[in-house]
Amino acid sequence: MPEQTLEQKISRWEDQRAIKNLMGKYALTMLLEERTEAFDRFWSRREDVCLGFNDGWYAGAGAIKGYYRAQADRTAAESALLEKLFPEKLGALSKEKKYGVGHLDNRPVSAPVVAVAADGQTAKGMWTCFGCYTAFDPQYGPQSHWNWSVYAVDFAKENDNWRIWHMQYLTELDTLCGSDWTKPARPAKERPEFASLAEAAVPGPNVPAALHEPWSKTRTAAKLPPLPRAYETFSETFSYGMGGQTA
Amino acid sequence: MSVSFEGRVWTEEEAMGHVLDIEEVMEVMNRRVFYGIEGKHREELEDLWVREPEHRATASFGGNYGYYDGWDEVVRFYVTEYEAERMDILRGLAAEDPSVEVKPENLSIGYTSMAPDSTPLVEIAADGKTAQGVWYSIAQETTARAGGESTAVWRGEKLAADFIREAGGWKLWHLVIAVDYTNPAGTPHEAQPLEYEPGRDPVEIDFGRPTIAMRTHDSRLHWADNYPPEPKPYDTWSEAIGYGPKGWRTAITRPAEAVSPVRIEKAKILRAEARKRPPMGGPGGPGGPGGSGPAPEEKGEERHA
Repeated sequence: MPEQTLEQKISRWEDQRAIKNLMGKYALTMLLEERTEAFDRFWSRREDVCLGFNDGWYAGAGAIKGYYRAQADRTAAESALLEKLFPEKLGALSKEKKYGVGHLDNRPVSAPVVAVAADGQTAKGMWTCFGCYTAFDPQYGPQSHWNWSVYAVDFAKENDNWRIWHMQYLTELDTLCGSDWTKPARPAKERPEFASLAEAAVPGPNVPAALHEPWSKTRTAAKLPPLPRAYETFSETFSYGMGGQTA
Repeated sequence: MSVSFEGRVWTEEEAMGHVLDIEEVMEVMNRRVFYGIEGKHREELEDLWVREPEHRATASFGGNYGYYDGWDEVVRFYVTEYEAERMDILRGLAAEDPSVEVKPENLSIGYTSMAPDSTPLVEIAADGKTAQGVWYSIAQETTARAGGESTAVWRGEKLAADFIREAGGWKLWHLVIAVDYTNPAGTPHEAQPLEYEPGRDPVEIDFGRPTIAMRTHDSRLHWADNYPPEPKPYDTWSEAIGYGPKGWRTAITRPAEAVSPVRIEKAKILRAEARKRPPMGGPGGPGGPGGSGPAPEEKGEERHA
């Protein structure tokens, strides 16, 4: 790429900082259980927005919003169930204060590799994500997980703000806390009091696809999307969206 | 127009260049993380490490038990012996399961490792030619092996590196990975040995036969010494401050060879007392990184330094 002017260098640095901050805010939004705000706050208004996981895509604004909505509804169902199970501790709390009780979703991002297009209109980034979360299994009740994942994200600039355009969240390893994941899991105690949560399952991707095969003893190799490289304009690089570069 | 920060006066161009240098150095280490996930050691060396012959001649890869000194030695450890070990594991898996093919594409079968780096501290030399940085990583490494001997390990490690500016940008020149702890998954940190008999430390075994064998980083007693130390602002690089073998320097808080048998015995007594107390788990309970009880000074006892 040709030598940049001082103004271009400043702009490039500011763009990188804004993108890194955006991902930090996204992670904090999940932690704070503000999922229903996530699409309006962070996502592009382009028609081909998509959110990918190991097993496929939530393709389009409606599917992505629906995914966040379903997660929020699930959290609300968990909170309501916990209130029934622990009325003395939770009964006096308002609906807002009860929301998210017992639920933890901590996915901090690290190791950013970000490339901003020379034309300043798009950007790409990858992050690692080592976090933990608590999920309420309908059969076994609350379970804590360690999660090792990777984000691969395309960004678009809209009205001077960076927005998520395509996002992949690829889980390499997800394991119960306190476990040796190379050994068979210890039998868990059945908790029938949580069975009603089966009705509040989050629907799967509307475009099923095998984006990433997580670790197993027989998996051939970890394969990730390619890391971003410097580029002039989006048409000259690859996409992290549907039909683009997956693992 | 000039700006003043970090104790000097810069032109605007210089200041922006300095800021971007820091970001680019951090990006080199971040790219390394992703190569590690895919086990692409060969590709990492070609993309991120020095290319100029005079720099390759002095490149090094250090760990708790010494250094691989010079490019050929770095390649021997990080690529040749790594791939040979992976091939041995693959052959064992294939002997157990004939559907597993012994071929290069399967070298990483059943393997995963993630060592995301965090807490970056980067210094760019005043002459703009080199840089130094330290990071911390909480990592996991999982290896499927035959005979039910698969392993999953948590690892806490400090990484320190010298970087040098070449025509292709900032390149890794000397790297040290100092492991503070390794915990088999599903076991509490406090259950790990205070020390190992010579030749039995898994970290030493994994590090193989370095060019220069020496204890650089002492994590006995579950206490981390200060090697590699954090970089300080500097004008120009020298071996004495570098993260290569000639820059190894006595830890500030506790020299590597200064741990006395008396302290080891006292630590064992404290360990036995700690085991009598009710367990205190970290996040997710025992088996994940977490606390192991109140620190000695909370009990009014002297902390081992």
